[in-house]
Amino acid sequence: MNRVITKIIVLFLLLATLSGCWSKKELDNLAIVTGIGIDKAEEGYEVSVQIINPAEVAAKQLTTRTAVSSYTASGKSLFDAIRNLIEVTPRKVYLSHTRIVIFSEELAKEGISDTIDFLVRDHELRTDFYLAIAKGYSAKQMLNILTPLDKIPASKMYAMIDNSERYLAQTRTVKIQKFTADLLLEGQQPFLTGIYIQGSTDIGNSIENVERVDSPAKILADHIGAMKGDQLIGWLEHKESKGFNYLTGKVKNSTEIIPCKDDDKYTSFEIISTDKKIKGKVKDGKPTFTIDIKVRANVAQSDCELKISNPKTLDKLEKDLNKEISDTASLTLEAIQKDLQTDIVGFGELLHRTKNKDWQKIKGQWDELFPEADIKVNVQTKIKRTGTITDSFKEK
Amino acid sequence: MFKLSSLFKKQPVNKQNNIPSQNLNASLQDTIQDVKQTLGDSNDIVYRPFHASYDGSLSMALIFTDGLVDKNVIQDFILRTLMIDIRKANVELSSKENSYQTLKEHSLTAGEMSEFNTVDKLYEHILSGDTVILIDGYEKAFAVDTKGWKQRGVEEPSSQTSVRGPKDGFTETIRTNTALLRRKIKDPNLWIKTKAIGKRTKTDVSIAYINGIADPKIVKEVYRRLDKINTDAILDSGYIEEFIQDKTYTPFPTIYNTERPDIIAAGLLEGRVAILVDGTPFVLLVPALFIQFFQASEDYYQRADFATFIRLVRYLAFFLSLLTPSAYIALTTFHQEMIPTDLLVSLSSQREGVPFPAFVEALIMELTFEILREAGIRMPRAVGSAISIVGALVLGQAAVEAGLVSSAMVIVVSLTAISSFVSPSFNMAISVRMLRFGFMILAATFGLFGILIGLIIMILHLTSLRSFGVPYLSPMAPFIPKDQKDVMLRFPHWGLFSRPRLINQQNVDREDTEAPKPSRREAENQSVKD
Repeated sequence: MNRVITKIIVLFLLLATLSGCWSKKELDNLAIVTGIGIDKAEEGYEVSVQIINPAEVAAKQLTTRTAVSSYTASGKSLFDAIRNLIEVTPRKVYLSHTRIVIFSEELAKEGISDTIDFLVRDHELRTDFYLAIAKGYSAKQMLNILTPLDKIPASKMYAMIDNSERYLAQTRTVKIQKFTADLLLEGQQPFLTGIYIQGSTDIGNSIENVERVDSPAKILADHIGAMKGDQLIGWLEHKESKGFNYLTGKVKNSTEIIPCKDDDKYTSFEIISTDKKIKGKVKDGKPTFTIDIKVRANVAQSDCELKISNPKTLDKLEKDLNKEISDTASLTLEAIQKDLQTDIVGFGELLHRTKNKDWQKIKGQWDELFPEADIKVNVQTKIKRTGTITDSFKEK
Repeated sequence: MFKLSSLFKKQPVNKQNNIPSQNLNASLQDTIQDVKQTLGDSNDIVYRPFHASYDGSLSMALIFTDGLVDKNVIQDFILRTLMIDIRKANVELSSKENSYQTLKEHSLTAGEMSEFNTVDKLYEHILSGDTVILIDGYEKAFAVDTKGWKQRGVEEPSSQTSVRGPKDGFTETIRTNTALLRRKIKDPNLWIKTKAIGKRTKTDVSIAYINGIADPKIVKEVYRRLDKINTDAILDSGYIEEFIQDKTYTPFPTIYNTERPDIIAAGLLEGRVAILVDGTPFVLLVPALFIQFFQASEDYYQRADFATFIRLVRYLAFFLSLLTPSAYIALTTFHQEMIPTDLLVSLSSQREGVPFPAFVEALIMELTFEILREAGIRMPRAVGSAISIVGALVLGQAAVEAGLVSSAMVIVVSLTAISSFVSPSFNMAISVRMLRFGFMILAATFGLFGILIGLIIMILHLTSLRSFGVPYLSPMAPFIPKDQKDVMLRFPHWGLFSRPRLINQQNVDREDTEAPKPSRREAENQSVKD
């Protein structure tokens, strides 16, 4: 009994010397990464990280230092490059709070699957960050722009992509699971968000950028990068991107404008919800698809001489909207079928799911069949509300 | 070598000064001499020799302890009767046998009286406030209950207060305490039995229970454990608690104590057994279950919905006060990915420049708070305000401004402290205070994994506990669906129709009131009648 108690006490005392605490890291020893930029280096990759300077973001007394700093290192692989960052960063790079990973256009064109492997495999990364391609810029340049309002540029980009998908539908958010799923699905090609800089990148990376009311350099989210496999092969422009969102039924909220009869005035609509249904079949070895898009819209602004209170006017407006939206969708179909020849909507995947027998026969030639596929778009719009007034007050 | 186990080894008890249990001496003078010698001629013992009968032949003496007796009672009902009234009545006290009987049956006008014939009884009566009447020539004597001493009145309990509900509290006098119970339960089945424990203090310990509701096995077990106590002093019910509890090496209390008569009454009505100890307002209640420490008496006086809400808040506060510092340590040193980005940035900006690791920081603050709290209880009332000033400055502003701790840590400590005060029972709060440090160490070494292991061990330990044979975690483990109406939730009183199982298996039905659903017609008829 006595010996047992003595042993236990000794064990507990010894425990105190084992101050190892495996994987322990104090908050003030972390370099919190919010954005990762991946560029092509001569050999391997050049990785840039945007690190928060916590004292500048949340402290009571602010200095003139910037809220974030960026560091760059290169290595033969992405992991190698990130580890090499230790040489330049004062603290251990901590990736869990990454909001966005940006690939340079150059790298995206060559293929990004090798970097994706690290992003999926590494345990430290959460999977809730967005992937984007810097359109026409290097990823490093994107991360070096300071942004007003939101002190952390990576968070700003995250929120911006999010909002532009939600309220304008001109781009799409892509998280890493979505990207890898698209990459692996049969008959589906992945796509990525496009972001770019407007203005001078030289001023953009200095504090001067946030000292002016109108920042000289701005970050914008627009366009959708269409890929084939893990390679970027082209961009969907502004309107095509919206059409892509219509085709995939992801327009949550957007705008449409329809010109009046003669003058250059418009009636504007707020799209409040969309719903899509695609049916596909293979006939004589030729795939055909019908897309039914149901759109609900509100009248947001009316500059035309229209009696909106008249149901016939609304009928006409609905027809105009149908045409406008199906034109937009056709534009996108044109782009992905003829120009880019990549099935990012996932028509093949639809056949794979619904007409598996036919799909098994044609899946080998899908790349050749897709551009020739017959795709019909039917749009049905319903105007739900006309706002707090009916006819324009100019009518009176 | 010093042996640890020798600390617990008992030395043979040195028996001395024990009063032999022999019969009284017939000679009055000799008896008084003996008493004087035994009590060391103490000043507070009063000897009053006198002659009772008309001719003064019957010599008697009163012995009592000054301060423990009501002197008016002695004067009016003993001395007056024996010295004056007896002569007027002209009672015959000539023959010896006759006079003893007459005195006993016709003369003494005191309410409670007993007869004894041994020396040890003599001292027991004198020292507990009775007046002993010795008669020359008899080997027996009377003891008249003349107890009456300065005592604290029934006041509001200081350790457990309530907004709504009875405000009376137990006092140091066991008689007052039993009376408080009797006033609440006028049931002939409320049985109160008293025994003296403590060789020197001879403390009255009463066991109260409702016959027919309380489990006879538990009552028997209480008696058995109390009988086993062989000590020389019981100064508080805490002594009894430590002697009779099921397990010593546990941070959790397995016996409930309170100074509120309403809680004890409610406990008795559920079938529990109360142990009242003379000299302390704290009454014990067994068996005690884990959930009992989260049930305040006010839960039953407020409306059911409100009581339920408050009770849930209390369980939340229990976990907050147990786990907040450890969760903070674990999250900030191991699991930064679990903190929302904005919060992480804010926390890490606060930690910039703090010299200690989060664990040391938390330890410093928690210990400071514990010291402050202890000082608040222990220090003289007159310097009370000093503590709050020092406390507010040390724990709040100054420590943060000096860069010793981060301001988030101050919030964590305050939250912990406030949560620990929510517990309606002080001893459960103490358990949590102790366990918190263990959890902090676990969190600092293994992170959330450690906390989880700690919780599992804690729950395993809790399930292993029993209080007087009843599983400590019941009715959650073992799960008793019928009893869930008074665990997390508090059903309305018409829903609490059965007493908790396991505590009593007999007489389970508590009431048969239907839920109040007056129909419209009834209400109308009522108003017409009025």
